[in-house]
Parts: sequence; C-alpha cells; structure tokens
Amino acid sequence: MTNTSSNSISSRRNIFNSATAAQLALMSNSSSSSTYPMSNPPPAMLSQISAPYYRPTITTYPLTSTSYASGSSTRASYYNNLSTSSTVTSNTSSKQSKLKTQKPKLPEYLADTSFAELYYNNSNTEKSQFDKDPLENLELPTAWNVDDKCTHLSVDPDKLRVNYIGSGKNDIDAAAIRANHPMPPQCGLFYFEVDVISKGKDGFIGIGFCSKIVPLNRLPGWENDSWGYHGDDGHSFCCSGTGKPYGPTFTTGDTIGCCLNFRDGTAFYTKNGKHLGIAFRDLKGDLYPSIGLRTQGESVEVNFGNRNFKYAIEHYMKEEKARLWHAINAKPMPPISSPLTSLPISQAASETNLTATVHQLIVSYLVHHGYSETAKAFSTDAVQLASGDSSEMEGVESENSSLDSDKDMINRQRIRDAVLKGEIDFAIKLTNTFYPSVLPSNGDILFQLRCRKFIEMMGLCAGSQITCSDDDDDEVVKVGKDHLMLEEDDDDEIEDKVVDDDVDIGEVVDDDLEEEDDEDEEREEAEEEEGDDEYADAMEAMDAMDVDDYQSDHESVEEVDGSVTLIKTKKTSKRRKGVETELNGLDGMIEAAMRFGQELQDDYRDDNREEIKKALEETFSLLAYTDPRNSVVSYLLDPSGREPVANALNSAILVSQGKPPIPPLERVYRQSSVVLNELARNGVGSSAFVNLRKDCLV
Amino acid sequence: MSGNTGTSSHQSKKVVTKDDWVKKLEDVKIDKNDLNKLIMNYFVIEGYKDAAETFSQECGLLPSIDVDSIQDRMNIRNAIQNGNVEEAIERVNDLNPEILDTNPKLYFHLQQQRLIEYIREGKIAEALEFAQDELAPRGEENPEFLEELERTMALLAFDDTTVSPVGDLLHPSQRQRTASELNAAILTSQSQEKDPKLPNMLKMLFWAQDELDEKVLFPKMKNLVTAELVEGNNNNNNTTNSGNNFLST
Repeated sequence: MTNTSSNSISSRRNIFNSATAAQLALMSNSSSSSTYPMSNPPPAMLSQISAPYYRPTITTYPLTSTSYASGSSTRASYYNNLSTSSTVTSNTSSKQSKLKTQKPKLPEYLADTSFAELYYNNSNTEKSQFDKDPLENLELPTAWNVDDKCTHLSVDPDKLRVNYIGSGKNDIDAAAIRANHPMPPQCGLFYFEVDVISKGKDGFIGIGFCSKIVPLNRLPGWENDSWGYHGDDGHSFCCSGTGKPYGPTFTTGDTIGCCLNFRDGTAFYTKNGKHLGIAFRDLKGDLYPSIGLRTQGESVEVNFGNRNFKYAIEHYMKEEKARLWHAINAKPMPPISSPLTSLPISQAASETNLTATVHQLIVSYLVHHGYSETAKAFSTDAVQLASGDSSEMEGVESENSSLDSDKDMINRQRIRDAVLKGEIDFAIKLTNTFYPSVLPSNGDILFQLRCRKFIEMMGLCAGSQITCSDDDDDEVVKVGKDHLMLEEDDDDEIEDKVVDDDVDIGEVVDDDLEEEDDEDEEREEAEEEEGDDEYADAMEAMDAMDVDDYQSDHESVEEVDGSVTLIKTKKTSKRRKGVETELNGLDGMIEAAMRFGQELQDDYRDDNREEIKKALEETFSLLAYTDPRNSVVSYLLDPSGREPVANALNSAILVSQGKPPIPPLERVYRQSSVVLNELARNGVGSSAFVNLRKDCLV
Repeated sequence: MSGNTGTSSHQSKKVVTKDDWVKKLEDVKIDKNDLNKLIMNYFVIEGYKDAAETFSQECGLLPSIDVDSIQDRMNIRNAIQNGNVEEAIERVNDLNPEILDTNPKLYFHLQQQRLIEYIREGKIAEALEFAQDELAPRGEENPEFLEELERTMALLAFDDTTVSPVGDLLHPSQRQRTASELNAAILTSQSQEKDPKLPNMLKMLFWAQDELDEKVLFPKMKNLVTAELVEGNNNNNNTTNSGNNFLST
C-alpha cells in the first residue's frame, strides 16, 4: 500500500516541499486573526515538539490510568500496551541486546525459560513497589567470591580458578570458597562444572553447595546446610562428616558437574559428561555453589556457563520440561458450569470440559472482535463435529445465543473496518448511528478518534503527492475531501431513521461490495488506494440503507446528511475525470487539514489532562516536518496506529452494552502471564520450565 | 469473600491485592495478532476448515498449512464422530496406509470404537463376531488391549449402560477421543504439530494458579469462560482443610 521505494520518496519530497510552503502560508495567514498556538508556530515550539519523539511509541496517549476493575470506563490502555509491542519491537529488542552486554548472558540451557524473560526484562522496567521484593533474586552465580573464601585459597584474576596454598596436613587445613551469588530457584535448574586442573598431593577435593553462613574451613558437605561430592573416595556428604558411597572417584583431568533441580529439590552430579544419579534430595533455601580443597597443589577451575558444558544439560532441561508438562496435562479440567467442584473428574470428562471451554473462549473472542463470519463458520463446524453430542453442545449452544447478536457484531466489525482503513469520520458516523451513547460518554475515545483523523488527513496530504501526476489522482483527492467534510454532518437525525430500520446493514454492504468489484480493479491502480473503494462502498451502504426513508423525502437529504450528497457528487465527478485540478485538490486537503487541526486544538486547548496534552503535542508534531513520511514522527502515520484506536472504540461499545472490554481469552492470557511471573518471583522452581510465549503462543 | 475463618492459616502467605494484581494484568504485553494466530492454530490443527478459511479472510492471517489438507482430516474426524469408523479407516488408508500400519495402538482403538458402535446399534451378533475375529487376537498380544477389550465387552452385560461403570464408552466424548487420536496421528505423519496451543494455555493456567496459591494469596480465575477474577480465599486450595472451605463457600 505505501510505496516507500526510494524513487517515490524523493519525488514525493519535492512535491511536498511546495505543498508545505502552501501549508505554512496558510498557517501564517490564519494566525493573524486567531491566537491559538498551533497556527503560530514559533521555531522554538517546533523544536520542542519534535525533540521528545525520538522514541517511536504512538501509544503513549490517554487512559493509562484507567483501571481494569472499574466497570464503565474502557480499557484503551490495554490495547495501547498491545499495539506498542508491534511498533516498539525493534526498540525493546535493541534494549534487550544492550542489556545482554551489561548483564552476563544466561547459559544456553536457561534461554527458553521464563526465568530468562524475568532476567532480561527486570532491570529495564521500573516495577514500582515490587522491585524491592525480597523474594526476588535474579543474579546467577558467575564467579567465585574472592571475599568469601578461606585464607588457604588463592583465586586467579578470572575469579574462576582456585588454588590451594595452605599447609594441607590435616582436615583442619581444609579450605572452601563460595560463589558470588546463590542459585535462584526460579531458574528451575542450575548447573555448573568444575575442571580438576590438578589433584595436587592427595586430591581431597569437594564439589557442592552450601548456605551463606557455613564456615569455610571445612570441605563441602561436612557441615549443616552443606552438601558435597568428594574426589578422593567418590562419596557424597550431606550435612555430615560421614559420607555415603555415591559415585566414582575423580582426579586430574576430570570434569565434575553439579546440577540443582529446583522443580523437585534434588541434586545430581556428572563426571565427564555422564549422569551419576541423584545425590541429594529435599534441598531448599539460598544455596551457593562451593568447592573445597585440602592438600597442596590442588587446583580447580569452575565453569558457570560461560563455556560449553561436557554434560548435555540442555537435553536434561528438555526432559524436565516434558515431565512438568506431563504433570500439567494430568490436572483435571473442571466443568464450566461448576469450576469449583470437588468431585473427581474422569480423564474423558476433563477432555470434554477442556474442549467446551476452548470453544467458548474462541467464540467469545470472535464475537468480541466482530469476526462474525468466522464465529458462524466455527459454530457450524463445531456442531457438525460434535454431531448431537449434548455435553459438547454446552459450549456450542451458548455460542449460538451470542450469535443472536449477529447484527451487533457486524456493526462493530464495520466500525472497526472503517477505523482500520483510516475512515475515521465514517467510523464516528456509524458509531453514532448504532451506538449513540458511546461517544458522548467516552470523550477520551472521541479524542483519540479525532487525533487519528488529523493524522489520517496529514497522511493523505503527504501520501497523495505520489499520485499527483496520475490520471486517477483527482479521485484520491476527493476521498480526502470527503473525509474532511464529513465531520460537519449532523449524525443525530440519521440515527433515528436507521435504528428502527429493518435493513440489515451487513447484507447491504456485502451486496454493495460485490457490485463494486469491477470498479475496484480500476481503482487499484491508484497508489493510495487503501481504504478508498471500501470507503465509497461503505458510504453507499449508508446511502442504500437510508433509501427507504429518503426516497419519499428526497429534499431533506441535504439537510440531514451531507455525506449522501457528497457521495453522489463524487460519483458524478468521477465520470467526468479531472474536473478539479491537482493543485486545488492538494491545497484543499491541506487547508482542510489545517482547519481541522485548529478545531481540534481549540476544543482541547483547555484540557489540562497530561495524556491529552501529550497526545495533542504528539499529533501536531507532524506539522513540524516538511515531509512527515520521512521524519522521525513518520510512525504516527503508520496504519498500525489505527488498531489501538479501533480496539478502544470497540471496547467502549462493548462496555456500553454491559459486556467486558476485553475478551475472556485475552484475560486468560494476561492472567497466565502474571501468574507465571509471580511464580518465578516467588522462587517456585517449576515455573522456569514454562514459557508462556513459546509454549502457549504460536 | 475475604476475612473468613481460614485466614489464620494464610498469615505467612504474601497477599497481592486486587488492585495490584489488575495493574500487573494491564502491564502484560500481548498483541491481538498473537491471539489471532493462536486461534488459527486451533482451527487448523483441530480440522475446522471453514472456520480457518473464514478467519483467514476476516483477520488477514494465512493458515499455517494447506487448507485442503484440513478437509481430509475433517472428513475422517466427521466419520468417527458420526459412528462410521470403517469409513474413517478407509480414508486414512487412502491418505497414507503407513499411519495405521505403524500405529498398532491407534488401530486397536479404532477397532474398539467399531465394536462400541456395533453395541450402540444393538447389533449384538456382529459385535461378538467382530470382537472374536478382530480384537481378541490383538488382545492376546498385548495385555493392555485385552483389558480394554474386556471393558468394552462389559457393555453387553448391562441393561442400562448409562449407569454402568463402562457407560463412558458410549459417551460421545469417547468418539471424540478416538477421533482426536487419529487426527493427531495424521498430523504427526505429515510432520505437523499435533497439539493445538490454546488448550495448553488453559491447563497451564490452572496448574500455575494452584502452584502460586501455596505461596501467595491473589485473585484467581476459576471460570475461564467468564475469565472473572475471584479474590482471596482458597476454596480450591487442597492444603487447607475442607471444613474451612465449606465455611467460606
């Protein structure tokens, strides 16, 4: 749709410069008679406007303070968040990569865990009071702590290699060291390996972990809260001076791995990449990797994940993940009708319940977003597949009752389509027609719509440059004009007539679409065709819809609804192409955009709400650029910015009907995300093995 | 909802208020497109062909696989759901004979389903003959199959199967299960993912809420269809004693 090849950009820029001249001339003209700031842009203000927008977030405006809990207000903020993710993806990912260089990179086996998401996202988001959560510890052991060791040890500058420098005569000469951080349970598994560089004199080497308070003049495993595997005898020591036979002995050249599994509180060791079986159970608390040496010449080097491991820990991670999912799948699904039941649920019933729940969530989602045809098709499919199954029908039947509000769904879909095509006025008109109470009681949404309208106008001004030399351009220009002038329509009157009308707008529009197919082809050649034909069709649908009323009373058409006349004019003039000159068209568009911008500024100038001010500033920042499409604020013109507006409007309509502002499916996703996060925050090890985005999204 | 007699046992638990929780919910980043894809994934894998096609038109997402291949699976599923197991077997073999050849358990389940359909239709003689000819030999090979076969044959012993311990075999969900098993096998044979993601998410949520419940008091979703938050008390917590549960509900 938007042709951004360099050729057209440069040609556009040239043409636009002349347009900008006109624009500025216009602005200075009008400033003489009026005082609002927008029309009189001192250079300082322009730079002020443009400066803060180096960061492309179109969604900073309103309603972030809207509470999810309060019933009547809409949750545009939800969607603001959502939409940001698409526009800002590059931004966050660059943020992440920056963080990765600041923060030590996680070992490979942790990459897909929910811990990884927590780890990389934690420091870049200011998370209010939960930041100080004492349960939260996201640092991994990355090196030995040179300040937390026995004096008989020396540590190389890399803080990874440890050498014994004591006398090594007796058990009292043992010396241990702890890592710089405890192993956080929320990482699910923590694994490290120790290379035995030299067994020294006797190779009394202990590898394990302990709590912070364990004395360091003992080998790991000899004390309370201390566990270790010793090289000289291959025994495991669990908080006791007496070991138990566990594995083989180890010596110079061997690599010993140690893995803590926080899902089930166990630990196992590996030797040269081979699993030695579970050594310890019932582990909990803050545990630090630790090694201990006892005789002269002993030297070991730890690998906390900065090098490849000998043991295939990633594979073990996958197995653990599969085990956890097995447990998750084994959980019975309660029936929808009585989710709190304490009765046992059979496997078969659980599956049926799950399917019914899934179906209802899908249908409510489709209905919510106005995917009416899909909702119908799915219900038909589901009924067909269920083939008279009564329990399966539990879901499907209530689907059908939601489908009774078919017309409502289609109306909302039309409104959404209009916004998504940038036909803001048409969307406003439809909204006022079908849901007259929505916009008056949702000033925020109306404001968003109007800002978007201004943006669309600016986009049209910039975009129509491309087609100026084309034969078709007058059409484009005229659509622009339609946009502009519709604002003046009086919607109240038309609404009365349409509301009691039995004509199904969906059908009418559909029929119209078919009729118009041949014309579509011709239009598609126009560069900025997007929304154009659809728009005209939709307008004709309005037109057709009102036919019954207007036919008998044709003279009132002009008074009642300017758009009807407009469309007719448009159609007529289309047949005699090139009636208006291109320059007139472009000038007209710019002029209208300016006029509308001033209107917008007038209407909200006295509104002191931060988000309104900010949104206005952002919107009008488009004026600061001669070619907004190639400016730092070009993201404003991106059609993706329509989606949050469409969503906010859709939500507001639903709320006005006493329906939830966001579909249950989305709430389920949000709940899942937060619960998982909280699990990790609270140190529940198994949470690491579930990654919502990777396991539950496509 | 709150301040019930059970609170004393939760004193050590951290509490997250509904306001804080809602704030967290709002902070979750989720793209509508992701949810659309999730639904498309369900349509495609479960064989809702028309829904997949329509959805593709309405939301502009392309189905991840050829829609015609959905039709094959849908026909097969339909056949089983309509009690026509023989047709399903024929269709699968037309599609790829290896699927049943390499999958004795699945093949047994299909034959078992056939037996169930005979019994449902009251064709007792056919049922007995079929069981002896087709199923008994397989039961001899595998004790697991034998047990299933015996369970199925027990249907014949009851006048009113709906109150019998094996009544679930006549329940439509039994057909659904067989159909799903076959559907999954076909998908695997086509190197497609065989499990839709959406049900995973729901199960995961139930699991995760129970896990978190042991550490934190927070607003839960008990009914996923309405997706309403239920605050505070632990009617679902198996660690508190049931006496408290009854008081609080």
